[in-house]
Amino acid sequence: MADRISLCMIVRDEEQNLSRCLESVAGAVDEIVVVDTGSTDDTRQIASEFGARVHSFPWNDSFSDARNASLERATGDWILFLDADEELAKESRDVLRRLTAEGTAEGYFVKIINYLGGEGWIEPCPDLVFRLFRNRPDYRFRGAVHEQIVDVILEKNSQARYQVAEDLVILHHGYLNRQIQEKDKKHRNLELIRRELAAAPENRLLRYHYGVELYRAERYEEAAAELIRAANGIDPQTIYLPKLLRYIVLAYHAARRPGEALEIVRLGLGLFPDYADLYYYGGLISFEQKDYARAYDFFQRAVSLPEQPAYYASFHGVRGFRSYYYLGQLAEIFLNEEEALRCYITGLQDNPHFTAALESIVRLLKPHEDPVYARDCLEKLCDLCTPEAVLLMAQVLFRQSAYLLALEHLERVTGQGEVPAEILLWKAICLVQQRRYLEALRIIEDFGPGHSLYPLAKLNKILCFWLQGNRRRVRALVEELFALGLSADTGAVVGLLRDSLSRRRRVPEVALGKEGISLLLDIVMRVLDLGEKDRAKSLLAGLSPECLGKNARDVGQLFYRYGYLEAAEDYLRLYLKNDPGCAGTCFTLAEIKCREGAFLEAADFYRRALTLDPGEPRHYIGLIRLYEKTRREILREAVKRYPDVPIFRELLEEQFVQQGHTPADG
Amino acid sequence: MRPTIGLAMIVRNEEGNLAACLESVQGAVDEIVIVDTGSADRTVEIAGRYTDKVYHYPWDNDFSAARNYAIAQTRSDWVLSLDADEELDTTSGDLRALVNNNSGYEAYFLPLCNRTPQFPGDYSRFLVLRLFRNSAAYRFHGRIHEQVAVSRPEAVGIAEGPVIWHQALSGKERNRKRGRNLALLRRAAATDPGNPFLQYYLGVEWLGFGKAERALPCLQSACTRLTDAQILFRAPAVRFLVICLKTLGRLDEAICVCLEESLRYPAYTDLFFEGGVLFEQKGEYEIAIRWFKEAINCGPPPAVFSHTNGTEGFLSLYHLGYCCEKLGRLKEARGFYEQALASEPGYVYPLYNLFLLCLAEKGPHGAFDHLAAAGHLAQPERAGVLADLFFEAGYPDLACACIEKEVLAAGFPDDGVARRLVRFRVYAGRSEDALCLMDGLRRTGGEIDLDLDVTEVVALILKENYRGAKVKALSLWRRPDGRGAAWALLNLISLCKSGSRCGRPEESREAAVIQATLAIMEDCLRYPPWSPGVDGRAYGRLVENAAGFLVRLSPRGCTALAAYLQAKAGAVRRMMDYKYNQAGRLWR
Repeated sequence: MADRISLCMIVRDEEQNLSRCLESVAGAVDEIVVVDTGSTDDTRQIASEFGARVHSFPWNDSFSDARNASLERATGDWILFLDADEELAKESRDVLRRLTAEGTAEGYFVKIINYLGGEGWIEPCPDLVFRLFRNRPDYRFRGAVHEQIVDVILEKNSQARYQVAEDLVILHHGYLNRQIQEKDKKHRNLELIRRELAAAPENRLLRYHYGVELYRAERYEEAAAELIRAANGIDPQTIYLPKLLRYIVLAYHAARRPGEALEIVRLGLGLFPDYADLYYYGGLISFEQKDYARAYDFFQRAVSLPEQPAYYASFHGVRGFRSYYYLGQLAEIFLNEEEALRCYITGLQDNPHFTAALESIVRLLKPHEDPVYARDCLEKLCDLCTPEAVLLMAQVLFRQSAYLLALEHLERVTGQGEVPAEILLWKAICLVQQRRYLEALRIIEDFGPGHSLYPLAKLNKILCFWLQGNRRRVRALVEELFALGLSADTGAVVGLLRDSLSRRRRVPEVALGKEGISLLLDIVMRVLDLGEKDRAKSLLAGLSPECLGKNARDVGQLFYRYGYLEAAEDYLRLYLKNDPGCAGTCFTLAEIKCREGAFLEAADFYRRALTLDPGEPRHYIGLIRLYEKTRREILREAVKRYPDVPIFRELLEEQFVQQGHTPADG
Repeated sequence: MRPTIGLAMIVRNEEGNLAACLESVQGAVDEIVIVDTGSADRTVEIAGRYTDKVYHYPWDNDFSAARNYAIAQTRSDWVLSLDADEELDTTSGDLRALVNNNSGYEAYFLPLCNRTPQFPGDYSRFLVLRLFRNSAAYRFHGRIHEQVAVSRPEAVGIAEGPVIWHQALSGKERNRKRGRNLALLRRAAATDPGNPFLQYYLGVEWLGFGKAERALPCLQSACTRLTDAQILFRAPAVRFLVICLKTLGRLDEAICVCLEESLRYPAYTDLFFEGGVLFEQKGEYEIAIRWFKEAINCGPPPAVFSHTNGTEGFLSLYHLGYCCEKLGRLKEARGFYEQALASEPGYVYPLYNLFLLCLAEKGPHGAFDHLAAAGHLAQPERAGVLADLFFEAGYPDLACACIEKEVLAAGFPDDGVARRLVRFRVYAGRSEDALCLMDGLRRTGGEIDLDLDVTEVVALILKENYRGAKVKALSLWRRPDGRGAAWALLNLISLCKSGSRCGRPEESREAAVIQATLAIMEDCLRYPPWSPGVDGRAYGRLVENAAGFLVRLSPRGCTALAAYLQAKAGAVRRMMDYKYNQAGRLWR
């Protein structure tokens, strides 16, 4: 006769989950033993409906005791242990029978797929757990929190052999849509394990769990120390070693000790050279350290690795979208936008819910410069079949100040049904940016004084008239807005709007705080987006010299972004006077000078940037491009001056062939 | 009575070396016997100043016969045999102590160190039998690479000193001697093909000639046939075999030899070093690191093994740094370079790597602070190297600081340093300081070379002292090697002053003019725009005029300028490749 299988469980208040679990094993096991530790809902009844033998066991702060109570009552030859929020995968039912029939091992590590809910999507995270073993009276759980049975079996039966059965799969839904552990529970667990560990300081596994709990409690230094202790002298065959190593890396990283973290990555890769998570975190840490060479190597390796074995418990996406995202960032740092785009697109294809990649793609397509091209690309790339997707895209476009495209998308959504007020206001802003003031005002008027967005709506109304140079209306509206009781900063910005239209000469004396500056910069950006350079400058002219000097870098960068090189240069030079050590400002000035064809000044600024911050690849690249551009100019000049000498034309063409574009590109 | 020691040597045309050799043995020997085999120079005269025992012996293509003739003229109890290009270092040991003791030894191996021409700290050590009792039992054998025959090995001792220093030959002279040796050796080997010593020497000479493929069979045969009793020969034979295979690109075979022989001689440091070098060449840096570490663990090998100084220390440390660098373990690499520099102050190569590492990692100012804090600027030689490196990297301000911080603070620098400092200062925006220093040089009668003259004119142009510049530039014209530069400078002066050129150089001189112009432009492009008080406009004007001059000069000028810009881009790109490795490929 075939071996009999008992399913053992402990439950409390699991009416939500239990039936899914028991349905999944119906017919796959021969007996169901459920130990209830004090449910107050319908758990017991549901269990009975599925033919389970339900026993009560008073909770005594020990998971092991409760589990063992269920084992006591099992009569089968094999024990399968499940939690109520787990289920047996459909395809695994036959596997279960086959494994117990073969009976070549004393127990099996089986694959568990943890579903994690985070960042707006569900990600599967596989791992190995020990859940299937022979039913013998001395095989009992041990440990109050992280109850274990593997080492107990080995102690009792030194002949025992385990096997890994990755085709037996348990699905775990428990981490979905709720916090993994509430705070007080975390602390309670920590204290329980600490006590247990004090009684058994040699217990490596327990120390590992203790380190993990410390990590979860955000006590990273201690976590790293305990985890290192757990790892010292460990048998490399230990099934949880990969996870242990990753936790050490995470703990060191969180404790801001990147050097140690990278050293563990190195050691870990010596043992598990195909462990994607170590490459991923190695890459992440190197990236943060600005060690781009190493970061690149790590991420490249991560994306080239095969499917990870279950006991690595590899995080979702480390071989895919997560690493591709950073490869994209690296490509951008090396000014290779094409490659960056490729990486982000690959990442997005790997995980269509990964908004960070989408955001980067939209940014790189420069939708405010070339909306038509950007629209075409995005249409090919994204499937915008649901209103949610369209709205998300609109949001991304809006954030990237691509107002025309954002408006197109918003119009698709706002045409149908109830639309949140915030989205309507975005639409109004987009309309303002198209100079469709009347339509914008129509939306804005709908916001009554009681609405939380009223001040913002009002501000946009002021902008409508300000952009049309309507001094009278602006003044009146500003007074209305003041009457609402604005913060000092916001009031000052609104005052700037009003006063910039005044014909009287003003003393530049407005000093803004952080909030005011960010509001002002937002307005300046929108004004520049409309091509109103002089209006933008008049607005800034009201700032006190000190306040302008402090913020001139951000101002200059905005002017640069919208192609106003001269004004950008003025602001950036002003900033450099205050902060001569700012490499980024030197770089932008170099770019401006390079575009203007002023070789020497450009070279000076590039060299300054490079000297101030030799870690930034773009400083090298800028200089290289400058030399190449100047060389092209020399060659062109030579072609003109010496038309009979063919070599110059040849050299020019050669350079273009090398760079893969035609001479017409200039 | 204490035993006496006589120096016996054979010489021919050694007027350049002989005096130094004979000076070195003053007081160490009681008698000097010199046998001349046909000098055409002042060798005999020089010999006569040190001894009246100068004899003539007609050369008959047999080194042993000549040497034995010299020994026959020696009356002392012991014989010391030296060549004219060798010197005895009496500070490293005492011949008297060797011959006076009662050990029963009748002969001694003395350490012979070969200086390499490039670097004084880098030398190889062999043991040679050069001190022996003056008896019929000790006579030379072999027409070439003659050896003293040893009848009773137990009667031969190994002395740690005194060391014999063998001078490096100039390349030409070395090849002449090699040619002569090879001819003799081949004749000898033909009559005595089974002699492993001859095979060994043949291999060494072929290798020295750059004919590794011919050396290989000789060295292989020598290694097979020499026994451990002949370790003095077998050890260098093995090393030369490894070097030979390496030269032929047969790295795996060379590694096999290293592996096999290091098992046989586990204390032989140099084998581990060579093994490390081989793995390094194969790009197997992790393994190479293990070999170099083993070489360091070994320490200096026992005296019987021929040994290159430093394989147990600074050479291995240098390579360790390089391997770590390749593996991206930069901090470790830095540590090894520092250690190498500390253990052999005269070996400056690691400083180049250290500089690049620091520059890539910390940027110019960070690198300067680091190197200064590590004490490198306190040593004039290193400070000079670092100053050059900073200047080349485009930081003349830091180049000045390298010299000014410690070397200059300790007093007026020597002429060579002062000359460089003038140039660094001019392009760091400190023409005034530079001209002062230049005056100082003139007053002390220091040599003013062409480069310095050019630099001075540039300094005057930068100060808009065109009249002074023109006078100096015209005086350059009088130097035969200065005409290209003079042309370039006169044009630049004229362009800066009035925007017009002055004449066109003859076509034969055009290349020199272009080169001089580019050199000035290159230096002007180094000036530090970030230094307070430096006005970049004067440099900018000079660069613009130089570029314009080249473009208008001729197609050749254009080509040169374009090539120059390409090279500049290439240099930055190389720096990027160095710093970012594979990631640099992201930008192509």
